[in-house]
Amino acid sequence: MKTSRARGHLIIHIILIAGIAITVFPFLWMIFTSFKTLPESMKIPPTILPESLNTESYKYVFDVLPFAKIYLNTVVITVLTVLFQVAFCTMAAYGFARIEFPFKNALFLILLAILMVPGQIFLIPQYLIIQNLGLTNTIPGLFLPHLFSAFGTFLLRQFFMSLPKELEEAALLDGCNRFQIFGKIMLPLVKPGIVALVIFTARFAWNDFMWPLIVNTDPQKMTLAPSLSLLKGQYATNYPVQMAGAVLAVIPMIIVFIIFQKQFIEGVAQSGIKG
Amino acid sequence: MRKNLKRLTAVGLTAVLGAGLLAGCGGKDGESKDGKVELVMSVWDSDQQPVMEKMAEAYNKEHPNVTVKTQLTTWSEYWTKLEASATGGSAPDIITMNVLHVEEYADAGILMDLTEAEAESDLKINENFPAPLVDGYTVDGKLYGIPKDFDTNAVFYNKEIFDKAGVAYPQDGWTFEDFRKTCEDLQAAGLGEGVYPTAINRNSGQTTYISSVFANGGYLLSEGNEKSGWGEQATIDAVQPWLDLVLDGLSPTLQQMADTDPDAMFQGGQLAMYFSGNYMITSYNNTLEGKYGIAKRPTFNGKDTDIINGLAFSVSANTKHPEEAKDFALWLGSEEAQKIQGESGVCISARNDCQQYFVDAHDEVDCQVFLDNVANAELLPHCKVTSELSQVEKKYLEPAWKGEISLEEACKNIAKEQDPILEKMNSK
Amino acid sequence: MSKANTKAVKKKATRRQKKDWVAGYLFIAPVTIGLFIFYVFPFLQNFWFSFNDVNKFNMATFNGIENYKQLFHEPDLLLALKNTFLYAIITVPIGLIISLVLASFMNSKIKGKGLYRTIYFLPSVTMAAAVALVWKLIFNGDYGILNEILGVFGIEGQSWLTNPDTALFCVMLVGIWSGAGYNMIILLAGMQGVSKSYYEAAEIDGAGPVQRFFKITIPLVSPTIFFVTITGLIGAFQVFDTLYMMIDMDKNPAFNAVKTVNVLFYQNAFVYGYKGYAAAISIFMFVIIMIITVFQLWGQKKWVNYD
Repeated sequence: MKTSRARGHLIIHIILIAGIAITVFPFLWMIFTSFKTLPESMKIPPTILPESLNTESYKYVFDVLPFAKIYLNTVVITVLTVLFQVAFCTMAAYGFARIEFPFKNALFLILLAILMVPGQIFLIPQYLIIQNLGLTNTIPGLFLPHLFSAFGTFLLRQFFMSLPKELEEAALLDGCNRFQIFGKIMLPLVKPGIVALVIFTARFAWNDFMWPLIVNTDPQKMTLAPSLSLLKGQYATNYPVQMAGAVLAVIPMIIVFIIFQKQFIEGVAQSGIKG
Repeated sequence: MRKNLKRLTAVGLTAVLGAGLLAGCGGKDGESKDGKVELVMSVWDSDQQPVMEKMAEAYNKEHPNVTVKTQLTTWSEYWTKLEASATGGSAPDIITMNVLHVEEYADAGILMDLTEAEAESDLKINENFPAPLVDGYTVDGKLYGIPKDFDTNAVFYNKEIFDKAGVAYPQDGWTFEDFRKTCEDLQAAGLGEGVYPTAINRNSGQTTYISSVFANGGYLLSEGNEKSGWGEQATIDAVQPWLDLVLDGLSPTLQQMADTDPDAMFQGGQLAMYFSGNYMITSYNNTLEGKYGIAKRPTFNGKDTDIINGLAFSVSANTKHPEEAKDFALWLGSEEAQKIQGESGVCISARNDCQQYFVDAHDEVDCQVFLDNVANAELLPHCKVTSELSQVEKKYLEPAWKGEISLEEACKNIAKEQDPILEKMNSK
Repeated sequence: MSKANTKAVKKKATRRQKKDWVAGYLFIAPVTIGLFIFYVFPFLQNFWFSFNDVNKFNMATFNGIENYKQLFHEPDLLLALKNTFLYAIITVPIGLIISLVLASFMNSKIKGKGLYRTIYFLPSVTMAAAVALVWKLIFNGDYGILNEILGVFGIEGQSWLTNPDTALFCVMLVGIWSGAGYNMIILLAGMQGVSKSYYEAAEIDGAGPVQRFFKITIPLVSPTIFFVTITGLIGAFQVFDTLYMMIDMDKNPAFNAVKTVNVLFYQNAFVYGYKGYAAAISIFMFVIIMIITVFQLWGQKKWVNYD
C-alpha cells in the first residue's frame, strides 16, 4: 500500500515537472532575451543564454518610463477595483443564488448575456459615459466600469449554490435575517470563491490595456500595460527592449501573487478543516 | 470577515464619492480664472514628443497665457483613441494628422476649417510649403491642416555586410537593374546564415514599388479616386521586378517577413540593403550607428520618382479655445517653429526654408537625398477607404508574393474588388 | 415533521418571502445598476446601431436590415465561424482536462504542492501583451527556439505563426497555456470545499485514487466544472487579445486562417469604421453564444450536482 502510493506520487511528480518546463520556459526565454543585444536576439541558430549580461535594454526602458509612478498608479487602481468588485459581486451572487424574488431569473439572464457580448463594443459607449460624468483623466474614471462584474457575480453564485440549503434554513428558523446569514454563515463558506475572484480581478485590473489607454491622457495617471506599448514604435521592433519591458511588467504581479497566495492558502485550508 | 467587508465598502464608497467630487471641483480642462489657457496636442511618435514640447515652450515664451501639453499615444492605438475622444466631442485641441485620415475626420466635422485663418495670417502656405503636402490636407477646397513634416525614401545599406562581401556600396544615379545586380553580387559573394541582400515586403509599397508605378506611367487610384489602377498593365509591369527579387530568393519570403519585420532584420544586421524613410534615422542611429549608409533610390524606367507623405497639425472643431488653438497651429507653421523641429533632426520640417535643418542636424549620415527627392515626389495615394482597399491588396498580393498565383492575376482581381468599394465610397 | 408543522412553515414562508424580496433586491442592487449603466445600455445602443449605417464617429442613419443582409453575403462569415468554433471545441475540453488533472494533483497529499501551484498559476498573472510577444519570438521561423528544439529531435521546423495550417493551433496552445493555471485554482477551490469525510469514507471502502476522482471529486465539484466550461466557452468564442497580438492583421499571410467572428467585428468597427455593420456582426455572435449557453444551462440539470 505504502510503496504503491509512493510510486503514484513519483508519477505525479514527473508529470508535474514536465508541465512546469512548458509553463516556465517562456518566462525564462523572456528573461534571457532581455539581456541580449538586438543582433544577438536575431542570430541563427539562436543562442540560449545571452553571450554577455547586456543591460542596455533595461536602461532604455527606465529612461523612457517613470516606473515608480506607473507601479503606484497600477497598484492603487488594482486594489480599488478588487475591493469594490468583490464586495459588490459577493452580495449580488448571494442574492441570485439564495433568495427568491420576482424577475430574479430574468435579471440574472440579462447579466449572463453581458458575458456573451464581444467586449470591444463597450469601449466607446463606456468612454462616453465616463466623459459625461466628467471623470476622464481621473483615477475613478480608470476603474469605475470595472467595479461591476457579471463574471464575478456568476463565479460566486456558483459557489453559493454549492452550499447546503439546510444551513440557511436553520438560521432563518432561528430568526436570523438575510444580512446576518450572509455575513455570519455564508461568507466564510465561500472564501475559496472570493479568493478565486480576488486573483482573477487583480489580474484583470493589473493587465488592463485598452480602457486606461482610452480614458486617460494624463501621464501622471498612466498605468502599466499602456505604458508598455510605448516601447514599441510605429515601425521598430526591438525584441530585447520589449522583453525587458515585459519582465518589468510581469515581476511585481508574480511577487504580489506569491505573497497573496501564502495568506489565502491558509485561509482556504482552514475553511477546509472546519468544513 | 463581515466586519471587514463592511468597513471596506464604507471606505471604498467614500473614496469613489470623494474622488468624484474632487473631479467636479477640478473644473473643465484647461480653464481657469486668470485668463490662462491650456491646449492639448496629440502625437504618436515618442521620438518627436520632446521636440513638440520644445516648440510648445517657445510659443509659451511669446504667449505667456498659453501653455501646451503634449499627449503621447503609440501608433497602433492612436487612431482608436482619437476616434473615441472625437466621438465624445473632446478631441485634443491640436491633432497630429496624416493624409490617410484627414478626409474622414474633416467630413465628420471633427477638424476646424483653417482656410480663413490661414488667409488672414502671414503664413503664405502655398508659397512656403511643398504643393503635394498642402493638397493632401485640403479637402473640398478647404484647408484642414498646417503641414508639419514630410518623409521621402532612400536605400539604407549595411556597410559591414558590403565590406565583408567585397561589393561596392550603392552609388547615386544607379538604375533598378544596377540594384538587382548588386543584390545578385552580394548573394554570390556568400552572405551569413539568414542574411539577405534586401527585403521587399508586400505592404512596403510606399518605400518600394509605388514610386515605380508612377515612374512607369501607371497609377493605383485614378484622379478623383474613382477607379482602381491595379489592373493597368503599366502598374503590373512596375511591381513585377520588385516581386521577382522575392521570388528569386534575393529577399526573405513573405512568411519570413511576417515573422520578423524587415525593419527589425535590417537593424539586427540581417539585411544588406533596405528601403526606408527618413523617419527611421533616429532608430537606426540607436542600433546601427556608424555602420550604415544612405544612397539615393535606384531609378526606374529612367525616372527617380519618389513617394512623399507628411503629417500636419490640425485643430479640433470642438476646442474650447478656438482662437488660441488656431493661432498656435499657424505658429507651428512659422519659420521659428519649423526651425526648432528641423534642428532636432527627428524629422524634416515641411516648410521649404526649414528643410535644410534636418540635413545639418545629421553629421553621421548624408541626408541630402531626402530633400532632393521632393522635387520628383508624388503624394502617397490615399482616400477615405484606404484601409479597406489595402485589405483587398493583401488578399491577392499575398499569394502572388508566395508565387502561388501570377502577379497579373492578382492585380486584375484587386482592381475587380476595389472598384465597387470606391463606387460605394463615392456614392455616399 | 408532522403535517401541521409543515403548514405552519408554509404560512410563515409567505411573510418571509416579502421580506426576502426586499433583501434580494438590496443584495443585487449595486451590481445590477452598475451593469445596466455600463453594459446593458451600451449593448442596447449597439443593437440599435445594427439597424443603421453608422460611421466611425457614431453618426447613424437608419437603414433597416441592410447590415444583416450584407452579413449573410459576407464571404468571410463562414470562415470566421469555422475558426471560432474550432478554437472553442479544441481549447475548452483540453484546457478543462488539464486543469482538472492539475487541480486534483494539487488536492492530493504530494509534497511541494505550494510550489507547483504557484508555478502553474504564473501564466495567469502575466500580461497578455507580454505573453504574446515572447511566444511570437519562440514560434519565429528563423530565430525561434522552438525550431531549434525540434531540430534536436530531427523534426524540421517552420514558420509556425505565418503558416495558415499551424497559426491557429499556435494561438490555441497559448490560450491553453495561459488559462490552465487559472482554471486549476478555481477547480481546486471547489475541491477544497468538498468535505474530507467523503474521501475518508471512500478510502475505508477501499476506493483507489482514480475511483475517488471519478466517484467523488467530479460529481461534487460539478458546479465548478460547469462554471469553468461555460466561462471557458464564452471566453473562447470571444478570443481576441492573443490573436490580435500574435497575428498581425496587416502583415501576416495566415491572418485569414485565424480570423474569428470577433476579429471580423473588430476589423469592421475599428479598422474600416463600419460600426453599423460591425454591430450586426456582434449581435449575430451574441445570439449564437446565447443559444449555446441556454442549451448548457438547460443541460446542466442532467449532470451538475448542487447540494
